[in-house]
Parts: sequence; structure tokens; C-alpha cells
Amino acid sequence: MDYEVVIGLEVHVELKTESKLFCSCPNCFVPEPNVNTCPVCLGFPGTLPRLNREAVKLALTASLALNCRIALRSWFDRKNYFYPDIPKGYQISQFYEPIGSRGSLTIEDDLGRPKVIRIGRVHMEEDAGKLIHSPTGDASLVDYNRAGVPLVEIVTEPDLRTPGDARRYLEKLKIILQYAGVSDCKMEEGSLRCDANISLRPSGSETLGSKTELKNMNSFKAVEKSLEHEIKRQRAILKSGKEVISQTLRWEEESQKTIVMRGKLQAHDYRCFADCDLAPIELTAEEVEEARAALPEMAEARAERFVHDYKLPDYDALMLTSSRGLADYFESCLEFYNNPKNVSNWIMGELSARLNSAGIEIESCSFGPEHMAELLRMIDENLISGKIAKDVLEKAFYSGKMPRRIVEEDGLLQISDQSELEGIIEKVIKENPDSVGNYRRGKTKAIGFLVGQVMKETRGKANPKLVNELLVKKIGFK
Amino acid sequence: MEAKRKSAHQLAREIGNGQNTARRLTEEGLKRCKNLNASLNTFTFIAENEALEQAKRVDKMIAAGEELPLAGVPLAVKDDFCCSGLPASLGSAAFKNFVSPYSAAAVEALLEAGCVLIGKTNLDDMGMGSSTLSSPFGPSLNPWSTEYAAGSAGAAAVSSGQCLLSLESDTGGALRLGASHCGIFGLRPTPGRISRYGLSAFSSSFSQAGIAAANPEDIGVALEVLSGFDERDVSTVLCRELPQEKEKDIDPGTITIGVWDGDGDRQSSANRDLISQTGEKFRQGDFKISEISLELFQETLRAYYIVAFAEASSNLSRYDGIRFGEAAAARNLDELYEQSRRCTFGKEARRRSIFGTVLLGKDRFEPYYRQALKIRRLFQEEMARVFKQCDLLLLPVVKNLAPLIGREAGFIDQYEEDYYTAPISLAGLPALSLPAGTIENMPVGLQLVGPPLADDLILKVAAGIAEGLSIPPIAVRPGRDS
Amino acid sequence: MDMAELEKAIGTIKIAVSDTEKEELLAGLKDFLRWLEPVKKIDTANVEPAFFSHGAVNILREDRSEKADISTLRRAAPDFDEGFYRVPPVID
Ligand SMILES: [Zn+2]
Repeated sequence: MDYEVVIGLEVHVELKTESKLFCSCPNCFVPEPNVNTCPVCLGFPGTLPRLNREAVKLALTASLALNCRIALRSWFDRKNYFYPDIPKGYQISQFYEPIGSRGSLTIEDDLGRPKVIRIGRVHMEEDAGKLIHSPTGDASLVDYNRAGVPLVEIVTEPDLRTPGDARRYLEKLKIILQYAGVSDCKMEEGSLRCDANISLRPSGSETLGSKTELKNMNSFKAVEKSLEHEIKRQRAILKSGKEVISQTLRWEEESQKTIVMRGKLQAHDYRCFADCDLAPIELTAEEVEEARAALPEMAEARAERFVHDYKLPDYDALMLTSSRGLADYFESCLEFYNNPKNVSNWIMGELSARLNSAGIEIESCSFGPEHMAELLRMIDENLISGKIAKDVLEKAFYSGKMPRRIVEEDGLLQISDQSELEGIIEKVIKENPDSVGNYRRGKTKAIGFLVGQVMKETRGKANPKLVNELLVKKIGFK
Repeated sequence: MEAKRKSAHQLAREIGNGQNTARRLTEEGLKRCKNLNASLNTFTFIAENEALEQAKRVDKMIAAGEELPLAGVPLAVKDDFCCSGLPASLGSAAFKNFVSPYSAAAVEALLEAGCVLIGKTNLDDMGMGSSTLSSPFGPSLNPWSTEYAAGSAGAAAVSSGQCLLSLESDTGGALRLGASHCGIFGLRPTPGRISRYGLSAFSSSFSQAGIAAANPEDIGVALEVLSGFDERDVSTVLCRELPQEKEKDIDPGTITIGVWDGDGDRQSSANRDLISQTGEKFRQGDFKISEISLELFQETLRAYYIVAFAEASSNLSRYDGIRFGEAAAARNLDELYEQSRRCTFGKEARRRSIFGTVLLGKDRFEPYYRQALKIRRLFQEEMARVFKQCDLLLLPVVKNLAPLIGREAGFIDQYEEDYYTAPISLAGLPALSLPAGTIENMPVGLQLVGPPLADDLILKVAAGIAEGLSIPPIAVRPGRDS
Repeated sequence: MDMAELEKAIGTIKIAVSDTEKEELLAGLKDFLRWLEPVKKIDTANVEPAFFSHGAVNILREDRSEKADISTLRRAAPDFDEGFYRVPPVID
């Protein structure tokens, strides 16, 4: 018998605000524990939550960017349970009336065909703190820095069918939320977290099989891998005629395996009810439309604009808009240096290579748009060769120094002085009679070798165009 | 002990114009408090040093020409309010040594207005109750007769002259019942008039800050100081709807007092007599009187208790022995929770937490919790209709005299004591408990209730008939046995 | 209402209760539910529950951060060490 795989994802995304959801503590990562805390986020007696306006705005933006219906009246409820990382004994979350519902996101399936993934809900909630096990094992340690950080939870309907679907959904979701300015969506840093629900059912069956919940995946790759692993595991169980136990599993990156984290999934009774300490959020239809109109430009639209406005090839536009950071970088460069194709080539070529090998994101790259613009202008002005420019880029990339300063300090200015070059060219002609002979016999390619020799003599600083000209003049047909 | 009662606003005037100093008054007051506290058990903490500091500060400010509406007025604060640097027991033995890192908005405002905080007053188990009988620190005694409980320690403090103003909390009626049992005035204002920030509330819907004093004018001055939008408490946004100009005088002829004499009441004849006597006073004062009947009232006490318990189970969940309070020695996490929470809560707080959890449970949520919220709406609508027929409503406040010390009633009987007060909390209305007479030599009050934001009108109307109502015991009367 | 439901609630709300107190609570709870019985009889068809005790809407704070004085907060903790709140070991 063959089985159909049914996957649903629950994604938590940290909102990019300055302060926490219900208090003024900074919303930023700090290594020192329990410093971003105050009486409110520690749940001190008598304190009351105060809702962050920006968090609501970002949640609304996220909901709109995911094509959700917007609740004109929504509110916060209390989800009651005990755990040391929950300071009040309840988590404030939108249980009954999420701000966004019934949205969708289109991905490509394994065969490249478009596929709509329904989004059940987008709701706001506060994050929990972190629980760490002490090295001695005699205690667990609680850090409340993250407690109260604003999140949106985005829950899909069980519309995903393959691990690839799941990965592509996450990639697309990340791009959308980044473009919308809602979140950094960095899974490695925890600003995007994903849990997966997965079950198998006989092909053609309408009822869902019993599902397991997967947690602790730290990358999109890990989500895909753990789902693949879980499909194999469930299929084997079903094939052997046994039943899949509904439970929570934890992905172990080292062993590339899932292990049981919590026994039988049981519907926990969170005793949710409206939190009177907060006021409901009401929006008018006009406000929602205004917010919709104010949505930042999304990847597809931006790519189209790049093709149209900057006359870039489709491929370039697609690559440059693959992340908002890259697209922003590209357009910032153009503010200082207006040659789109040239900028595109250097971003997609040298800069991307550097970013990849250093393993950093464009947002945190010290080679900024000004650096790029200055570098390209120096090539245009024949001050450096393209080859030297690559070395300069590498130096600037790691040091943050401006390219012009590197060129000056290292004496890399291109030699365009004819008299200085003529001496070297004479020397090269003398030392390479064979090549000169070849050229004169019509093997024009030999000129390349000779230019190369001159470049070598000048450690790359000679203006190659000028060298070529001079060589041709010197050894040309008599 | 001397028995002279000044009003807070008079006293503030005397200090303001140099006839008296906050320091002298505070020194005298502290002595008196220490004395009386030994017999009445009014305070969980007497803030001697802080009070003297504040008195000096007030005198300095007055000398510098500043005007303070409550200059030097001795203030008692119920121990479920947080005051920066002072202990806050919250009604729990486990919080005896808890020092609050911040101040409640109401405390801040009163100190800024010149009040001198004398001490923190005793309260029931986690603030749950209207007798002080469940206090982990023992009951507070009634200055009228020490065989009775105070009802509210703050009201006893005012009655016995230990302070002139008392900042209290009122959830189902503690403040109003206490004021009645001690023969003074107690206002539970419209929810949202006074910020709840810093009040350890076991019910987010119902717990409110209120004021007790020996006369309605003092409450009016305090309310003016306390009332206003505080961005830390969403409900105070209501204050933006308050009229800019305050009404100066009222014309009794234009005001209709609705009268309801209660039902199902063991003391109904006594209450009925008080209502008719007080109604007569209103009539003599040229107010119009109109008989009102209420339909839903009977069932609303139960609806109140459902919501209050449900919320209590959640509001008290933060007491886990991790960030504050006391942690019990524990081998594992569950034990930490279970033992720490056990030593934090008394019997009543345990009962309400557990019963509240049951009421919010899957199969009880709909028939109890949601049903109670529907009744809340129905009753709010009924009361809105009532206030189309009258401006204010006069009704009983207590069912019985103050509870006797050492004779604790069954818990449901105790809840029944809130029969007249909790429904007003459910409807979200302002209510003043005002002294109306005595029964068996113990004071009994009545309740003057209005539509939302009618607080000032209530106080003005009460002031119109208060003459002769203020009742003495500024000193302690021993119980009959002693 | 039986002991099983009561015990479930006690387990959920995490308060240590002795066996005798449990019996007492169960009897009390039965009385209490009986006392509440009349509430169920009130006709509330088509009545929207009043979820909120206040009429406030859209009370929002501007997104500005501020550091609190954490030293006084830490002093309130029963077991605080080297920057962390300590609890007994938690096994997942
Ligand atoms: Zn905070």
C-alpha cells in the first residue's frame, strides 16, 4: 500500500520591535541573563501589561502579507499552564480571535508547479524565557530576557505533502516576512522557530492518520531532513501493521535522528479566557486598507521593477531579490553609482562569494554600498584593474576600510603612464621572442600572453588596455 | 484616649497655612497607632521611619510655598498595594519579608498630594474575604466592640483615629462592608477612576482601588487626587470621559433617589427600617424618592463568584516561588510549585484557586464561566435601565453585623455576606457605603449606587445628608466579655 | 463531580493538598456547585458574554525601550545565583 504524507507547520517569528510586547524592556539579544527584565515581564504582584503599538502594526502587516482576513476586533487571552520560563503562570496569546486568519501562501511543489498552502491563523503572543540545565545537574536555570518578546505564530493548514514542500514554504515565508519588515527570520538565532506536525494515511483516504509533532529543528535543512526521517519511520511502522503513537519528537542534529521528547500527545486544557488586564484591539476597514496599501514591495514586484527600471536580465533580478537585504543593498549602491548591470555583476559575483565563504549575511557585511560604489568608480576611471579590484574588495570586506584608502596605502594605482610602461614592454619583447614571432605570423592570441607578462612585471598594476595598445604598436606587422 | 475627629481636608488646610505641622501630627499619630495596633491588630507594618521622613518632606514643601491638597494627612494603605521599599504581605505569610521594588500608582499619587503613609493594613488570605478573619496575621478587631471583626482593617484604622484616609481594595465588597461595620464612609469608585497598577488583584475584572474616610468630602478630595488616566491601567481611559468642569452644587429637587430595600435577607426588617429612615432624610433634603424593583439581583452574587474564582485561579498562578515569595525545599519542579504555593496560600486562596480551575475546565466552562459572563451583561443592562428611572440607587450594604471573632461561618455563608455588594462589582458601578444607624450598638451602613462615573454625584448627595450620620468610636470600646 | 475531577484540578493548579483536605474540598465543591445551580437556569439565549469588565479599546504604548533597575528585582528571588533564577532540575 502507498501512503500520502500530510504535513502542517507552526512557525513562531520574533517581531522586530525595540521593546517587548507588554513592557518597555529592550527586545534584543544580550548574552548576560536576566538583564532585560522588569517587574512587568517578571510578573511581579500588581503589575499590568501594556501593549506595544508597533507589535500590533507588525502583526497586522504580517497578516496582510500572508493574505489573511483581518479581525476588526481581536483581543488577548490567557493560556494557563505552569513552567518556569512562563513568569505569570499563563502566556498572553490570541486564542479566540487571532488578528489574521484564513490566509495563503503559494509555493512550488516538487515538480515546480504552483501550489497554494492555506494559512489557518496568524496571532500575536508573548515569548517565554529560556530554561538552561546547570552544568552540575543539580538545578535548572531560568533566564527571562526573552520572556515577553513579541511573536507572531503562523499556522498552516495540513496542506504540505513533502519535506521539500515544507522547506520551500519556510523559504518563501522568510522572504515575505523579511520584505514586509516584520522580522529578521533567522532560524539559527531563534528569531524564526518551526514545529512540524506530520502523519501518513493510505493514499486516497480522507481521514488523517495519527500524527507526531517534531521540534528542535535549527535550520530549514533540518526541517526537511527530520521530516524525511519521520516519514521513513512512520511508513515502516504502518507497513508492519502497527500504529503510530501520537507523541512529540525531538530532532537530534548530530545523529540525524528523532528521539521521543514527550509521551502521548494529550490535549492540554489551557483554560483560556480573555485577559481583562488588556484592552481589545479594534480596527476599521479603512485602517486595514491603509495598512494593505502601505505594505512594503514584495520580492516578485521588486524583481519586475528591477527588470523594467534597471534593464537587468531576469536572472539578475531574481537573484538580487532573493532576500530583502540583497535587494536593498543593490538599490543603495545605485544611489552612489548608477550602472545597475555592473553593480549586479559584482554583487552576484565577488561579493556573494565573499559572503558565502565568510558565512555572513549582507546586512552585517562591512563592505557597504559606498564601498562598492567607490570600488566600481575606480575601475571605470582606470585607476585600478578589475583584477586588482577583486583584491581590494577582499581587503575592504574584512577590514571595512574604504577601497580608495586601500589602493593608496598599498600602492595599487594602475600604471597608465606610457613612458613607464614602454621600458617594461621592451623588456618583455626581448625576453619572449617566440611569442613575438608567433604574433607576427598571425597568431593573434599570443598578444594575450605578452600582456600577461607585462602585468606580472607590474604586479597587476599596469592598465591592461594600454599595454595591449602599446604592444600591438611595437610588434605589429611591419 | 482623646476623641476628636478632624476631617482630612481641614487638617491639610491647617498644615497648609502653618497652624500645624505634618511632623508633629505624624509623631502623635504614630504613637497612637502603636498603642491601638496592640489591641486592634490593624497593621501588618507600621512605617515609622518612612512616615517621619515624608512628614518632614511635606513640611519643607509647605514652607517652600507649595500647595498640597492632602498635606500631612495620615494615610493607611491596605497590604495588597505595593509601595516601593516597604513590605507588602499581600495577605500571605510567605510574603512577610517581600519588599516591593515599585509603588502602586494610587500610592504614588497620594504621597505626591502630601499624605503621610503610616502603615500597611491587615487583610484576608490573599485579599480574599471581607472580614479579616482569614488573615495569616490574625483578625483585625472592630473598634466599636472588639468581639467583632473589623471587616476591613483600614476602616477600623479610620474609625479608631489611627489615620484619616485609607486606601483599600474592593473586589466583592471588602471596603464597603468594612466601612459599614466600622461606621464610616467607603467608596468603591467606578472601575477605571483609580489606576489599579500596583494592586495585587486576585480578580482582574473586579478588584478595584477605593477610599475610606470619616466623611464624604475627604473621599472627594482623595478621589480627585487619585482619578485620572494612567497608561499602565487600560481601564483608566474612562477618565478621559470625565467632564472638565466639576459640578459645584447639586439641586436636590432635580435628583431622584431610587430605593430598593433588598430581599431574601435575614436582617431585612433592620435594613428596611434603615432604608426608610434614610429615605426620609433624603425626602427632607428635598430629594425625590422612587421605589425601584430589581429582577436579576438575586442570582448575580453567584455569577460574580464564578468569574472571581476563575480569574483568581489564573491571577494567583504567578506565585510559584521562583521570582519572589518563598520557595519550599523541593526535589523536583512539581514539588517546588506545589509546596511553595501551599505555603503562600491560606485555606481560602487554595479553595478559590482549585474551584476556579474546576469552573474553567472543559466541561464547566460553558455552563458556568460563559454563563456568568452572559449574566454580567444582562445585569449591566438591567442596571442601565434602572438608572433611566433614577439618578442614584439606595440599597442595603450588609446582610449581618460584623462577623464575631472566633466564630467563622461556613464558606458559602461567608460568600453570602457579599449579597448586596458583589452584584454592584459585577455590574461595574460606583458605590458608596455610608453609615446609616446602629443595630445592637453596632454600626450599619447603606449603599448608594450610581451609573458609571456618578462617583462625584454620589459623594455630593451623601454629603447632603451626612450631617449627624458620622458615627463616633474614635477610641476602642472593649468587647462585652472584657 | 468526583474525586478524580477534583484531583485533576488540584494537579493542574499545582497546590499540595493533604488527603483529609481533599475530602473536605470535595464536599465543599459539591456544596458550591449546588449553590451555583440557579445560575444555569437563567435564560441567556442570544446574550453575548461580557468578556471585558471595562470598555477600553486600543490602549497602546509607543515602542520605546527603557532599562529597569534589576538589582531590587533580584533581591526578591528566593534562589538567585550568578545571574539566573534557580529551580530544581527539569527533565524534559
Ligand atoms: Zn520587562
